[in-house]
Parts: sequence; C-alpha cells; structure tokens
Amino acid sequence: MAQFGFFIDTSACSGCKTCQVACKDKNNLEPGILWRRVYEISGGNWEKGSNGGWKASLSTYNLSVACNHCEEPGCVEACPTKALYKEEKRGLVLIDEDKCIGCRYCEWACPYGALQFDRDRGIMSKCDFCVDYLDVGSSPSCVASCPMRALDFGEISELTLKYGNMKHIYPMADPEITKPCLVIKPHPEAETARSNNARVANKEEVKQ
Amino acid sequence: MIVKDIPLIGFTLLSQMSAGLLVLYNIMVFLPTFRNKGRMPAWFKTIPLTAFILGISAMIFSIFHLGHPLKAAQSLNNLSSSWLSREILFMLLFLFFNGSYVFMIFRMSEWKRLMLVFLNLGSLLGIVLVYSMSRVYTDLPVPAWQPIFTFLNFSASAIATGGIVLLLFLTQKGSLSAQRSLSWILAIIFLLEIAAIPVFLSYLDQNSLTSQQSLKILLDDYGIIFYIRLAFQVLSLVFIFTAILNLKSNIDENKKLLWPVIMASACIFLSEISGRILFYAVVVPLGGL
Repeated sequence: MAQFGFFIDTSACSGCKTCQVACKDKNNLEPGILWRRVYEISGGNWEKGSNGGWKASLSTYNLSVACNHCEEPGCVEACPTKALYKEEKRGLVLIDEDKCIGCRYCEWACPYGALQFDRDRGIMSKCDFCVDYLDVGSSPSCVASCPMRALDFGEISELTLKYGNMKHIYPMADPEITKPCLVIKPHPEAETARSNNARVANKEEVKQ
Repeated sequence: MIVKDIPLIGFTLLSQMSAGLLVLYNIMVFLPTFRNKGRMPAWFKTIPLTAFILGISAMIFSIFHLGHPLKAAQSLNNLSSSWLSREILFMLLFLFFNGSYVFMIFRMSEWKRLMLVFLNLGSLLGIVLVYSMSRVYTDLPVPAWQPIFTFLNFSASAIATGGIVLLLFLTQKGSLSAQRSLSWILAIIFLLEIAAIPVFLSYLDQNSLTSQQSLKILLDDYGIIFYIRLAFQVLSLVFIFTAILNLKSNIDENKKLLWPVIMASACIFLSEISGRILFYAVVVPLGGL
C-alpha cells in the first residue's frame, strides 16, 4: 500500500492562509469548517542579556495543518460506526458519510484538529487530500495554491528522501501517538518556542 | 457552558446514577444490615425500577448528542477497537438485565434464583459500564482526562448519586442501620472527592503544557463553576454529617433524617452537574492544536 502525506516548510510559510481559503473554496466548506488550518504560534519575552542590555526573545511562526492521514489514526480506531477508514490505494484516512452518525467522538481522538463537524449535515468532515484531483494527476488545492511553495505532497517515502524525516514541531503532539504522515521543515524559532512558552495565538480563528 | 455537551452530561450522569443505584441495591439485598427486621419490604421493588428509568433516560439523552439519531444502532459496529461502541453495548446489556429483573420482581416473583442471577449480572454490567465509560475518555489524547482520575471520578459519581437516591428511599421506611451505613459511605466518598481536587490540580500543573492549558481553563475561564462546585461538595458533606448526627439521637429518626438528606441530594446533583460541565470544558488535545 502506498502512503501519501504532506510536507510543510514552516520556515517558508508566511501565514497568508491561501491554503486554508483554497481548501474551503474547492470543497465548498461552510463558515466555521476548516479542513486545513494555519496556526499562528507565538510566544516570547523581553529579557535582560548578560551585558545588561535588553532584547526580545521571540518565537513566532505559522503552522499549516490538515489531516495527517496517520499510519495509526486514532480517529479510525475510535469511530464507533467504522465510518472512518484508511483506504488502500494511497493510505488516506477518509469518511464513509453514509455510516457517520455525527457522534463527534473522532473530534477528540485526533490530536491535530483534523475532524470538523458539519452542523448542516449532522456528520463529520475532513481533508480528503483532494483525492479527485489526485485521480486526474493534479495536486491537492492547498499545495497548488501556496504562493510560498511551503507545501508539498507525495508518497511519504519520497517526501522523506527529499526533505528529511522530521515529523514534529512544537507544539504538535508526539508523532509516536498516531504516526502522522507528514514531513516538516521546522522554522528556526521553533527551537526556542517551548522555553518561550509559545501558544496558538489565533485560537478563535482555527478552533471549531 | 457548551450547549453541545448537555446530552453527554445527561447521559454520563444518569447512567452512572443508574449503575450506582443498582449496585448499591444489590449489596443491600445481600447484607442483613440493610434489611428491615430481616426481610426486604415490598416497596423496595421501586428501587431497581428507578434505576431502570434513570438508565432509559440516559439513553434518551445520548440520542440528542448525535447528528443522525436514527442511525444510532450503527454505533455498535466497531466493538473490536472503539470504546464508544463497547460502552453502548454494555449500556444496552445493563438495561436488559436491569429491566428483566424489574419485570420479574413485579410479574414473576416466584423465580427467586433467576431474579438474583439477573440482578447480579445487571450490577456487574453496571460496574463494567462505568469502567468502559471512563475508557471512552481516557484512551484519547487529552491529558486532562487522566485515566486514574477519570475512572475514580466516574466511580465516585456513580456511588454518590446512586447512593443519595437510595438514601432518599431509605429515609421513608429503611432500617436505621442501613441509613447509618449508607450515610457513612457517602460521607467518605465526598471526603475523597474533595481530597482529590488539589491532587488533580497539581497533576495538571506539573504534567505538560497542554494540561496547564486545561488548568487555566478550569481556574480562569470556568473558575466560577469550579468554586461553585467546591461549595456544593462541602455543603453535601455538611448535610450528610448532619444526617449522621441526627441518626444518633433517638427522636423520630426518619423525619429528622429527611431534610438533611434532601438538602444533601440537591447539593450532590448540582455539584455533579457542575463537575461534568468542567470535565468537558477542560478538553485540550495534546499539543493544543
């Protein structure tokens, strides 16, 4: 089975949210539903240096996250109806909408906020990797739209060869939990994000 | 308060109350201290009936949580890996045995051995139900739903709410020793619940960045509800000790016991409801995304 995944270059991401909008547009998502979300990670201090001078110690960067189509998806394991499943062809995590009863349990099972409740239809919704585009040889809309070329996609083995095997950046959950299929190029300021107590600054925008 | 959580609050509280009531009733059936002059009075039949009605009410609440209530039966499709599927299965089995026992005590009371088998199985499934309900939450990447705290929280809720309903029954015609024993059990549960609060807060503070975010929600965003709950917990304890003190005097026991037990019931229900609001409010997934 092939396993597709995303690449995110957080050092290149400008936080313009074109990927977010392109996804909403392509999938005709209602207000409040974001299959791809750009988290603004922000933290820092105004510190006195060893020479007595004051300087800002900042950690600010953007993190564009959709479904990571995990190798061991917690949502698939948790779903009581088997509406969520991992498809064979590309290893994508998809929803059988006829089976979904809208219990929203998967929402809690995903540490990446990928599952979004569609109130109008009473079922869950999520990134399907633009599987219809993939079938005709096109890129997912978020990848194609990124003006900074901060996003890429492909077989995870190829992405790893191309970009390395970094799967984690602060403050994402430990990748050992669900084994997300993504490769990350970390922003340099991510190194100091934990010590700077950086948090998601735009919660109101990205939380459903 | 998040409106979408109301059905879950109703489902978890009512089902735990139902399970706690049936388990305590089962214990009462077997222990001589809980009997009135050596036999079970006829009106005790209404206790398992109440547990059954509470269980059915819980199921009705759970339906309102679904986006597609008519497809609720599909929630049993993933018993192999989903604790939510298992929880629903155990709930249905619990209701089946509880309901069958209620039917038998009203219609087939001569089948005493079979009745006891159904009661014991119902109680066992009640315990399994509370356990599976805690696993529904503790298997998720949410640090605030720490496994031991969550299981103890749900178990304490089951005993406290089920126990206070049983004590309300006992204040009418129950034996003095039964009232005294149950009052002490409840007092110990309330003390443990209050004692667990600083331990839980300390866990949240020291565990991870995510759990610290949960702590902030608990004490800042939902601080009023947190302190209201604490006040109700303390008041529950005060009223239960008042009931215990009243039981020590010899004048018209049932009447003297009734008012503190009613007050304690009100405080317990309000503290459990506010506790469950907090339980769902502190959800921050690991990483905080």
